Amino acid sequence: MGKITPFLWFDGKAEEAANFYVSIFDNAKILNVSRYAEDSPGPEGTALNGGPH
Amino acid sequence: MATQLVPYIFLYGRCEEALEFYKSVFGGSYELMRVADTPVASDMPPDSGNRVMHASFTSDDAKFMASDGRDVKPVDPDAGNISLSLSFDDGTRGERIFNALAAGGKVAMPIDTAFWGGRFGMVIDKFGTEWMVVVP
Repeated sequence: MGKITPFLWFDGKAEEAANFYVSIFDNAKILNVSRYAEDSPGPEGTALNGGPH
Repeated sequence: MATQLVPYIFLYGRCEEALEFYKSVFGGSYELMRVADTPVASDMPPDSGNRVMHASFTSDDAKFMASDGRDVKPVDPDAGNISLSLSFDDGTRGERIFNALAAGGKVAMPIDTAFWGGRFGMVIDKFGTEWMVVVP
């Protein structure tokens, strides 16, 4: 069965938000973080995919 | 643990149209409750009786909830129209997480008895994410 997984956008605060949610939910961890590279379209060092499960 | 997280989509007057569209895409089915059929109908604007207060969509590939919207969170295209519905079997856990999410954020609706059963509260956390918390 398919499952909808919300993808949340945080306008530069994704890592801070993910750490906040990890602090709240039990058995939570960040699985991985992918950052924009220097020459990619996004601001360097921003963006994140992962979070509470 | 049977806590369940599903997206809650606000469709501001186009809920039924959208549900039909999603049904044509995903198959499945939905149930909806109109404002006129709820105990709070008299608290709502007189022309809102036909609006969808709450709907639940189920299919093999997608499950979510939806509504035409309400006054607590006005239409804000920049902020998006999707909230997260978090349903707990464990009330103590749900209340603890609700309070933790509220730190530095804003309680839009404190957890209180809901006319549809159980208790319900809404919190917008400090990052702007809106959580709709359902507890027994």
